Amino acid sequence: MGHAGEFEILVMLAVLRLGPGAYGVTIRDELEEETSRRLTLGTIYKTLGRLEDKRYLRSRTSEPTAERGGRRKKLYEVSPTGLVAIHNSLADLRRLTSGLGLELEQP
Amino acid sequence: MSASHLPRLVRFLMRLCVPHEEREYFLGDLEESSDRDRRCLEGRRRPWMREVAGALKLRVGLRGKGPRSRTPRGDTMPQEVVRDVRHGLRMMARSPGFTSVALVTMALGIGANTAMFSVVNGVLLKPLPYPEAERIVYLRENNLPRGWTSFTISPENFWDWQEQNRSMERMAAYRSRNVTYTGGDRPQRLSAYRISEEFLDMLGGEPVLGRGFGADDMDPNREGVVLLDHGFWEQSFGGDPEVLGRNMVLDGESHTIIGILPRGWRQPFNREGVEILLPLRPETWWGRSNHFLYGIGRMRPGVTVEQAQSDLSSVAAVLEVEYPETNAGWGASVRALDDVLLGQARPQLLILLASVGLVLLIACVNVAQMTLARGSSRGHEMAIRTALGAGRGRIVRQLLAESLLLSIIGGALGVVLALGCLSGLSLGWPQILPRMEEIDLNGTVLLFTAGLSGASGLLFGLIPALNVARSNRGEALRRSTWSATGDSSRRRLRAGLVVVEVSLAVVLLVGSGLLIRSFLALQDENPGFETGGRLTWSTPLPDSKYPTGEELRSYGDAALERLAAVPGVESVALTTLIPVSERDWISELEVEGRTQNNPDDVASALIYRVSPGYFETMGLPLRTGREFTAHDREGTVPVVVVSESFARDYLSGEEAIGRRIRYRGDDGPFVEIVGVAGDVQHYHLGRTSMPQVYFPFAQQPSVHVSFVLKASVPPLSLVRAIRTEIQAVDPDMPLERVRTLEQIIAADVATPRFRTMLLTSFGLTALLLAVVGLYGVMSYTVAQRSREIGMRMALGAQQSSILRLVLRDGVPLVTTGLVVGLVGAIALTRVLESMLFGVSVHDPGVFAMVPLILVAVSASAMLIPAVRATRVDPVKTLAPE
Repeated sequence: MGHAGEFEILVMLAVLRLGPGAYGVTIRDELEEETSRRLTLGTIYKTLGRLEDKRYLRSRTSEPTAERGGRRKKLYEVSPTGLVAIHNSLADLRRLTSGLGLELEQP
Repeated sequence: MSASHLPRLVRFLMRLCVPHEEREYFLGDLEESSDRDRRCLEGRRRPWMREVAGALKLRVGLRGKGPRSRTPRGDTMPQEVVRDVRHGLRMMARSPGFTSVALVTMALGIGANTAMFSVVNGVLLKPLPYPEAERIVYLRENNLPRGWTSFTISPENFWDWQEQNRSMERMAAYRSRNVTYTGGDRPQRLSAYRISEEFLDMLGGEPVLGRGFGADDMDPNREGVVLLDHGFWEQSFGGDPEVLGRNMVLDGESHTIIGILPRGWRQPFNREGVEILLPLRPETWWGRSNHFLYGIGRMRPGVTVEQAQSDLSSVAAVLEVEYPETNAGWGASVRALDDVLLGQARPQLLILLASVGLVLLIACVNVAQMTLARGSSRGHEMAIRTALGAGRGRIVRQLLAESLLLSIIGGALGVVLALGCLSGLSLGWPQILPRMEEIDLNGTVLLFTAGLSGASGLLFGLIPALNVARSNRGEALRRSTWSATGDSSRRRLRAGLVVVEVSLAVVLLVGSGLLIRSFLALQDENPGFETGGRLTWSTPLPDSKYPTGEELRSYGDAALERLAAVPGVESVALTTLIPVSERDWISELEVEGRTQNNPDDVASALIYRVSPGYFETMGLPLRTGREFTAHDREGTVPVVVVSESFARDYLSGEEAIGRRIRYRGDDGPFVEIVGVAGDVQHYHLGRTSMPQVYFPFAQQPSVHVSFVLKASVPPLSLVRAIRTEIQAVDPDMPLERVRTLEQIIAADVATPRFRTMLLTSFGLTALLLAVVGLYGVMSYTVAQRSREIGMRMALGAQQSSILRLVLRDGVPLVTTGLVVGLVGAIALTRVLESMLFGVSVHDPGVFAMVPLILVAVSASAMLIPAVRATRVDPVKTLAPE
């Protein structure tokens, strides 16, 4: 029964939203845009590495592109266990927020 | 398009921070991101340093399975330690050259110290394995007027001490007397102690099987009884408990086995161990003038050794008055057990331990040197850490963690090294130290090693760590390799460390030089006889089987006749004493016509009884007169040969031939001196020996029969033939102590050789380390100043002036270290005094030689970098990066 930390969930959600184009910079930009955080690539990579270790993310390597100085990209996608972990963690959050009456239960 | 938007520094830093496997993607993302920023944010870039700091997280915590360590902020102390350790491991892995040199250095230093400390711990520190060992004292007689500080005790004196003293709870006596055991598969010589009733009890050796000796067992009229050593019991009787009550034939007499000693129990005074114990039974010939017993005593609680000494001295003084004939000059000597057992080894071991400690100190200084040099190249890393908010304490801790890691891993390697050294020690030098069987690498030693590793890590880590942390961060960030001469405070520190290294090495080199000279002097020392091709062995004859002189003589004659016929034997002789073999026989002699009013007039000498041909076989020169011949036998005129020193000391140097001597207290006829032989070093090489007196064996037969043989073939190849011939004469006769004279001499100098070898290897290691340190500093200086040198050369400086420039840095270090070291050596080598033979502690040869060696070796350490400096290509060094 996998679970994930808050920032890990955010990263996985960003990967889900980005679909086939999920890699370091795009994930960072997505998160910065949607979550009002300032993030360094190091933070992103650290979390991506951890999620990969947990088998929540899978990665593959793209072809090199010129705009990156001829370097390749590492593209990520969420694995089935990752999906389960997101689901579990969100379910926990919902259970814990329900009935608190502090307008935490948005649809 | 090849133009990268990433500044070179950022790329460099990122390369440091991002693990290799992620680096390509990370840098790609960074590039892409900066490209986007440039377009979207109209030049408003993200701050690079923030990115670098973020990337540092990737360096923290190695990639592995499971959750990673949390972000640095808010870590608990243990986690930080784990992080420091991980970081340290990575840093070590990243510079394998530095790491391996540092590890080898530390392993050598710590390993040598661990081995040395194991020895010191086993020999000196562990309590002696006897109950209340601090109350046990060793008792001997002495005769100070005649210069004998320690002598065996006469039995009647011992009994009087026992009755009249007030300081001892109990006393016991023993003598060492080997016996021949027949009845096994072949005759066997067993090492035996004859002990009085209290002996075992006092030394905690109650038998595990059967019983010890009681008062009845001391009665000479009862049947013999024997106790077996545990190891001997297992070896010879397979550990069979049924042996109790069985008989053993010892020296032809039947003895009942009554007990087995506890496993591992050893009596303290015989290093080889004793196989059987027999009761010390009075014999008819015992008298007040026969000194042959050893004594031990257990002091009453609260009595000090000094009090016991003065108590027994007063008892001995009473005896002197009571029995002036036999006891004049005889006193008592009381020494603590551990003083007797370890007194000689202690200063030597402590000196060796101190020396090896100096080696470790040098090793630490060396690693500190390397760390400092590395610290300069890590200036950027430290600057960035500081810039990111790492406090000075944090950085010091990080650097210390790296040093501690080095020293701990080095220490672990050192333990392996020490294990090797110790097994080498027990194989190669089995008997040079007391209690060697108790030397092991136990918990105490490991604790010592752990402490030593930690202390070393702190020592060589703290200096560079503080130095690196102190450097100004702004300066370090700005500074590139463009700086002309490097950080001056660091250079001063490194120079100081070189001076320390050189001076320590000088002290050790002087010490080993002195020991080497002393050892060489010892080797050149003429023992008085020739050693090459000579074999010796003993066949002590049991009294019971050879009760009369006639039987002893016929045994000797038959054996010599058969041995002389063995092919490869040039000559063979019989003797009762073999020089340098740790056994002696001393008697007092009376010179005809010489008064004996004061003790100085009494002549004492080593008594040898030898067969014809002894002097020739030993290669012992006769100065005047003649050797014994077959004609000097029972019934012919008694004759004697004396040594030069005897003639000098007791015959006033006058013509010796024709003078007459006899045993003191013997009313028989005087014996005429027919020859004077060269002096022999009977005890140890390089120690003054007692004069020797030789009687013909045929005229004074003895059971203490040994042989010496001169062979034209390798002497040890004859042993089998010799055994056959001896057993043809007496089938129950084993060969004992079969050794060549060369082996005897080598065993005698084994201890000096051991300490010389150890101290020399320490000295050479120290020299090597110091030179490596010096070389490191010089190469570093040259590297740092290559721009300056290049500039000078571009401006027309000669090679020689460049050479001078570089040497000007090194020469003062060496000379200062040399002077400091020589002064230290003058102060410290005094402790070697007791170990030196034929060389003074301030031997000018050694004190001149060491600086020469050091200058020669350090010259090459300085010249190699200096010459390299002159090859500097100005164009390259002056070109921008």
